[in-house]
Amino acid sequence: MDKRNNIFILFFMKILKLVSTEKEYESFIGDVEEFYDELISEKGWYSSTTWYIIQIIKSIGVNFPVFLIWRFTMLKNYFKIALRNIKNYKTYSFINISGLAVGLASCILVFLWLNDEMSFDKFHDNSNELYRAISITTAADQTISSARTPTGIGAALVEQYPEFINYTRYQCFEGTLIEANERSLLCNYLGVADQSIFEMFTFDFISGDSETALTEKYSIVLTESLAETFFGDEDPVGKIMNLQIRREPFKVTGVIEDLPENSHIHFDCILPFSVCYDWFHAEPAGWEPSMYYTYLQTEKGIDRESVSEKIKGIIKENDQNSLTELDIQSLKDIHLSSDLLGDMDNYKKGNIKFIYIYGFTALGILLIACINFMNLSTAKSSRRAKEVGLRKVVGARKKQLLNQFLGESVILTLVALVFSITIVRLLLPAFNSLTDKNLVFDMSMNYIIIAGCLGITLLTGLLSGVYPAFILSTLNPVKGLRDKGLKGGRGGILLRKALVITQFVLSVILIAVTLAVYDQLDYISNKPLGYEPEGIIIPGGYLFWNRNPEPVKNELLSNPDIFSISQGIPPSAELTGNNSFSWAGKNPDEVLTFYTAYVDQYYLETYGMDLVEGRFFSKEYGADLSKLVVNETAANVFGDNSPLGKVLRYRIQDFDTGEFNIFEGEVIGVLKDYHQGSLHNEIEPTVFIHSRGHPYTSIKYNEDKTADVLKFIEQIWGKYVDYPYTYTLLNETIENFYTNDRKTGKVFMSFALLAIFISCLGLFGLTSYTTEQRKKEIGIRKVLGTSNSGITFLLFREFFVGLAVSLVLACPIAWVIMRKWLESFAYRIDPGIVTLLTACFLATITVLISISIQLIKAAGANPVDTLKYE
Amino acid sequence: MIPLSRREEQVLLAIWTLKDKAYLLSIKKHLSTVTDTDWSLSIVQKPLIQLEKKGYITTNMGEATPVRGGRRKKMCHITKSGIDALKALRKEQDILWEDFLNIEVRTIR
Repeated sequence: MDKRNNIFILFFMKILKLVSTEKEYESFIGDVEEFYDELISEKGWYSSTTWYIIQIIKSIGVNFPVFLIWRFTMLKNYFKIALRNIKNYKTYSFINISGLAVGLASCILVFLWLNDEMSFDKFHDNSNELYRAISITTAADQTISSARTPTGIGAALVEQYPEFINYTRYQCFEGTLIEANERSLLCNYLGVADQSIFEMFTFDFISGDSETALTEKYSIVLTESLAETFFGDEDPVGKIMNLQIRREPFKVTGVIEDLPENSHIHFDCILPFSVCYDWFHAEPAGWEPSMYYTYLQTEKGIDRESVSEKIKGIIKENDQNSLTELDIQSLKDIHLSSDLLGDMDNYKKGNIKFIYIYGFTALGILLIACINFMNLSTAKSSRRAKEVGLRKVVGARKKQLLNQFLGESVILTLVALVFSITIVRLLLPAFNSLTDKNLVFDMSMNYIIIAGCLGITLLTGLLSGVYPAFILSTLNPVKGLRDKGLKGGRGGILLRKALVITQFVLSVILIAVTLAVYDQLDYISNKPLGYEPEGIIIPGGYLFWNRNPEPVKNELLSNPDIFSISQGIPPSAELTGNNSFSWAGKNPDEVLTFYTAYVDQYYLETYGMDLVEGRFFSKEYGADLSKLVVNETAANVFGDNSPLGKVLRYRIQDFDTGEFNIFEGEVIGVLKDYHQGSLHNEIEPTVFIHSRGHPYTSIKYNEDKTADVLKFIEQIWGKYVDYPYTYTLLNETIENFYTNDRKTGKVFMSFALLAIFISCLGLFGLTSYTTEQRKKEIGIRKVLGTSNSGITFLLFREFFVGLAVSLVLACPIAWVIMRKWLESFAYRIDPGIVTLLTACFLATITVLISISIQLIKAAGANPVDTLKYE
Repeated sequence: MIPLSRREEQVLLAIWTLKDKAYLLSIKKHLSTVTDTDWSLSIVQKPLIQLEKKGYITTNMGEATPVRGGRRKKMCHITKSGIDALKALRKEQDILWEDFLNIEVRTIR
């Protein structure tokens, strides 16, 4: 065997080549070869080859320290030069570092946010094996996917399919008053679940037995913070707690650690699921649609697709009338990629859309900052031409120069990183309130964050440095060392222009989208809803819960500032769909979904709505109880004829008994369409059912005396209810529908401002450079008689071309993005030319401001100064 | 004057002896013969690098021979300051050894 093919020898030779100089390597290998030939005849192949290898390895040991020292010396030099450059060109360094720092800071913030969003529900030990069952109901032309599933499916799945090993049903109720230890406090989230929740999910017990915590019917498990507010340092296990509306006493059987913020399941205390059998008539193993969620634990490494194919028909097998198919979704997808009915109960539901929006805009800003760096470093490359020339003459190779300049940009980015960390620390509180999160920026704790920051920095440094490094390292040393320095090539200037155009395309897009978001928000807040949302208070449900409403109402109405009271579901609430409606002449195969709203006879006047046809429910008590009113959209569903007098049959679950009953009702009126819920949704066909004693009560009052009225209602509340006073104002509730949209607006606004700021900084630097280059030309032109304004125009012209191109490019892209965002609204503005033109105008103005100072200064310079020859 | 280590001293003297034929392998062979122990190449290589850094020798790439696979030799030449360093070292050692040598003479007597 030839030693040259020995993989060991080749490997070590490679290393030796890397660590030693070229000459050293050549002569050393030569020496080894020479002696090897002598040795082989003397000692044989085996021992001489061993000797060969040993010689090479030993030589690596000798050369390596030398190699290190040289590297270090060179590095020290590079470092020194880099710092000297930062110091000597203060404007450039300021523009580059501030741009990069802002870009990095926005990236780090978004990275923190992303990291948190992605971590949702991953802290459970079994998180890979946990799934949530979902139901997909297909009726006629529409499919409704819901996160809520029948109560019986969990047990059936575990029994019939070996893939499933455990299940739990879960639901969380809001705002319940709890009484214990002579204290009475509001618990925000009250959960119910099967005992198995503690086997499947990782909730750590502080005290109590995790294996039996929820097995007894009237047991309750508290979170640490709730336990502390009630019992302080005492161990609450075995203590008794009372839930205000249900008088049964509950025994505390355990305390768990507070649930982490990144869990979509969120409760302050949890009760066994069996309480729902009594309270809400939940069937222990029903196949009817229910309001509960089912979580499943599977065997390790199952294939979701094939399992969901298998279990698809299980509901139809057990309930012939059902139109529902079953599916499962991974626990880890619930926070971000789930878009189902009932999802809104998820704690701090996220949206994958925002991941993209935030991620891309932050990257866009970083890109703008990188472009600044590229532009400025290539523009000033002539200033370093001498250095490059000298280095080349002394023997620097292209690769070394490339490394030097790449290293320089990385050093600059590292400096920017230091600033950006400060920026992040300063901005984090504002960012937290914007994103409704509790992010912390602690470098020492989180390796992912450190790695992320350094990763982004290194990437930025390399990205922004690679082009300038390439340009600088390919300079011809002869040209570089010539006195006159370098004029940037034609290609360089073109590329610089292209980069500036990219920057402005990005900025204009961001401005345009921001404008569209704000226009839409403006449109929403000014759009007539079809009712008057002002001056309506909705007190908490307990005021009328299980109580004769008349005395309370009379007492309230005795105040002259209270105009009317309506018991019924308010227009801000989400209605439930019902597809059981039928009437004479309806095609029996057609499945239509109507939404049902329970209202009383005062609904119309309280909300100031209008009737189109017929009449509303009579004020006379008890009359019209079996009559119905529909809205215009519903009337259109019935066809061309007037719906008045039509008798509708429908099936509805009774809340008290849990039974499904068939009702019939005659349509007596058509209500003018109004917007139920938010403007994200379209107006749905709605049937208004006459009801009495609905716990939701809307009180219309004199807006000018809000404070007095609130106090008055509080007094009456205190008289009837031993429960903290809660209320909502309808117009505030409606405002809250658009919180997310307003946040998007703010995010875009801040990003757009940053983008335009950084690109203007870059442009400022570039202008100052180009005008300086053309100093002599301007001087000569002035000497030959061009006026100041003529020169200014000449200089402006160059930028106008680039600006015009970027505006033309940006408009279509911005238009597409605006449309995309607006699609989530059923009622939206039509973003037209005006929005785009405004964006273009704003961008142009800022560009003009940032370059005009430089240009006018250059145009006004005295030609004597610029043309004099030293 | 930068001090010489024992190895450097030996290598430098070998280069002096070998004159124009001094390169890594010839130095190794020479020292192996003189000291009657096997010197590995890298043991010579390290002092050579040091000596060059200290300026006691200069190197240039010599002619290529077929036996080396066409690779050139790195020839070593002792410099003026190398010779000075050797002289100084010798002088220093003479002084240091003087007393010991005297004792030896006495004991033999």
